[in-house]
Amino acid sequence: MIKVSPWVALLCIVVGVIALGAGSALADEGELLYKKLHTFVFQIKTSKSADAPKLSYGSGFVVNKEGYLLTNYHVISSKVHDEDDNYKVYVVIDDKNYEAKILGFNIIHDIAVVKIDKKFDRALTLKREAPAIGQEVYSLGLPQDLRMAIVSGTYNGVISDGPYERVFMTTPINSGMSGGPTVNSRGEVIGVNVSHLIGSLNITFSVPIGHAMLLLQEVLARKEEFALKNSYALIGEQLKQIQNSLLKELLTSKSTPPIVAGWMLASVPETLKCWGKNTTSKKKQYQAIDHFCHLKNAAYLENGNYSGSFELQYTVLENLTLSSLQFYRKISSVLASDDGLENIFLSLFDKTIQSKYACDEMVIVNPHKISFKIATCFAALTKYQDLYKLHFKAITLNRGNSYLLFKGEFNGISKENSKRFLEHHLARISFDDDGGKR
Amino acid sequence: MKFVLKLKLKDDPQFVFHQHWEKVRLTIGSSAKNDVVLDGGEIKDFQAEIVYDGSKFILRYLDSDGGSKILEGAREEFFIANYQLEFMPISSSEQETELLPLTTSAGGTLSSRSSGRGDLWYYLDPQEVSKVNLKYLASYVILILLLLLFNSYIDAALDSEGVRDLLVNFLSLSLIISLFTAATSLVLKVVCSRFQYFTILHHHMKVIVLFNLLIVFTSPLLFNINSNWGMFLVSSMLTLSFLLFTFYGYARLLFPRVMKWKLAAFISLLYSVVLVGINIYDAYDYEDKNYSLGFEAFLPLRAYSESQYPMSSLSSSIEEQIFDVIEYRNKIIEKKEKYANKNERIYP
Repeated sequence: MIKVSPWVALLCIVVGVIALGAGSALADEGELLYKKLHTFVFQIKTSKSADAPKLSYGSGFVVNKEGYLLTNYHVISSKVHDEDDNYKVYVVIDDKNYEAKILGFNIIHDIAVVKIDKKFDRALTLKREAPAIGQEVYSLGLPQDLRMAIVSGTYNGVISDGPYERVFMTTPINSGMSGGPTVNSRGEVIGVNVSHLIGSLNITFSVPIGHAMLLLQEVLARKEEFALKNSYALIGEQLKQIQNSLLKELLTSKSTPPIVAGWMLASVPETLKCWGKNTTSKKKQYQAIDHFCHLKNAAYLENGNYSGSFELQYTVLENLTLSSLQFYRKISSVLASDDGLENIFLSLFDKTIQSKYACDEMVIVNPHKISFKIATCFAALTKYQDLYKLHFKAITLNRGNSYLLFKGEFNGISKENSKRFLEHHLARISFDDDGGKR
Repeated sequence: MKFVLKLKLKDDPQFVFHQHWEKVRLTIGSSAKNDVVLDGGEIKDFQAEIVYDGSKFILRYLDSDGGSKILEGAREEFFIANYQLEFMPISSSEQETELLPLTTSAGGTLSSRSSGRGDLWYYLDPQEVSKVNLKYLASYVILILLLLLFNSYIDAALDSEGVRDLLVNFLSLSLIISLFTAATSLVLKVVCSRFQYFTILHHHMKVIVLFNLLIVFTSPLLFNINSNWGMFLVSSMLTLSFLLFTFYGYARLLFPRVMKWKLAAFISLLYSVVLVGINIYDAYDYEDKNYSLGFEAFLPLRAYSESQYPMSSLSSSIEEQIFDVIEYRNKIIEKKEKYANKNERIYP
């Protein structure tokens, strides 16, 4: 029989009681917050009429006694793009549908302000200061068109992904809770529920409330009524902000330029997520070194379409044992099997989103005397002026045992920024003779 | 008047020649539709006419509308693809018609049979036919296999995969080329038996195939070395067949006495030389002022064939593309505004 000291037993009992107490306190906290907040969180839906089936839905919460609510832009995007004026936005309060007016939105941060014709006694408190990492936070909303729910998780700080900022947390947000509030333990709103990482377990995000507060201030300060027919111009301006911010980072990045198998490349800002991979062929005849960077986030537009995304890939093909002719053939077959720009040029497209592509190919020489064969394809975004999709592919033409393939795509970039980006990146590519050539 | 048929066969064993004693009736091929019937000098069918000008018979073909229009000039070689024909009148007082021996340039023998109704049929011995065919067929096959072996060797030598893939390349290409050649032959054969114009080329099909082989044999030097061998060979043979078909046919039609097969072969060789010349010119390296070694010059990634521009030229290229896509966008918007109503959103 195991002998246990009485002091140890007493310690265990005390610890057990404290734990139970803490658990109970947490449970109480959730319960209290729910009671305090749920009367300010509602479902927001888009439908043809109040009684018609929903086209889309999400959540929203009261931020002003005059009937202003915050939600996500993607919750009301169907209405923003409703050119035929077939749909309306409603806020459902106690089974009653209140038609809402869209007063403003920001696609970069995926937030929107709507207003209904109802006054409230109070509104939720918005708190710009973030909690400490590890603190408990709660998300409210109506998941899966069920009923109001409150879920809890941990606050893990703010993540920057280019121009996009997100609160990283672990509250299990589900569809339908988008647009609902994320609150701290005092019930102060620190974010707007926005998304979860697909395939993950409870990696979820909300928009830092600071961005929502700026939008709300802008809406309240605006004297003229917001006209939905100007939405496309507004979205276009916001998309330009995204790419200007991204371009600024790409062109002024001070991080150390990467060197891949002797090729010196342009700096990549730390906000981009990058991956690398080395593959050697079966008989160790050549190796392929991939370097891939992209923005994890993008701006949602409508109907599953996104913009403001960016991808960049460098692939170095290095010859190990092949003759130069054999290596040339390998390069050719790699290029031929690559998803070529020919596919993009020939692919079907939706005219309401973009025009058809115009492509061109040429050979250029950069200041380091590296020749590139570069192909570029542009398509205009139909709804937004001076914004384009850009796909490009460049391959170096140096004779030798190392080739660099550089390709990427921008979704939502202006003409001037395209030129600046391509010239900047191509000009910085050079080859280290000592490190690279055999 | 009685006639005797004197002819010199070349190498098409499928023809059957039917000689009537009383009428001159020339059957070309195996169909009675090709008959030419003379009855006391009057033409009773529409393929051609045979006219006796007092010293010899001239065979001329009629216009294709089936009328009685007579085309100028003696064009018997166009009408009858594989042989020359000469009719000889004989005195009506002679009791027997002397049958002249018929020979073929292919070296076979002819036999004759009587149908029992006063007609005489001439046949080329079927066994002779087989031997004749086999000789040509064997030479074609050997040529094709040599070509494929050569191409596969080049392919494998440049590839990193080795001898095993040489054999795989060789076998797969053999299959593709064999199928293609068989299909082309079948199509040509069917077409040739129906249309008068095509009989010209049926006769020269052998030459056309040889031209193709010549071009394709030199293809590793002429074109970029391409990993997609099968498609490259098939497409180049199709293109060349068509070009040579058209060129050769018209040339022979317009200049029958001038455009012999040797001339056509020379032109094809000239074509090959010109193509090689263009590629060598392309291979000139402007920077190093020399030519690249070996096949490197013909590879698709070569910079030497294209002008190189400074980085600033990229800007002009982008401007042009943007100009184009703005036009595409404007067209989309114009179409939309055409059907727009007052509620619809206007694109900026």
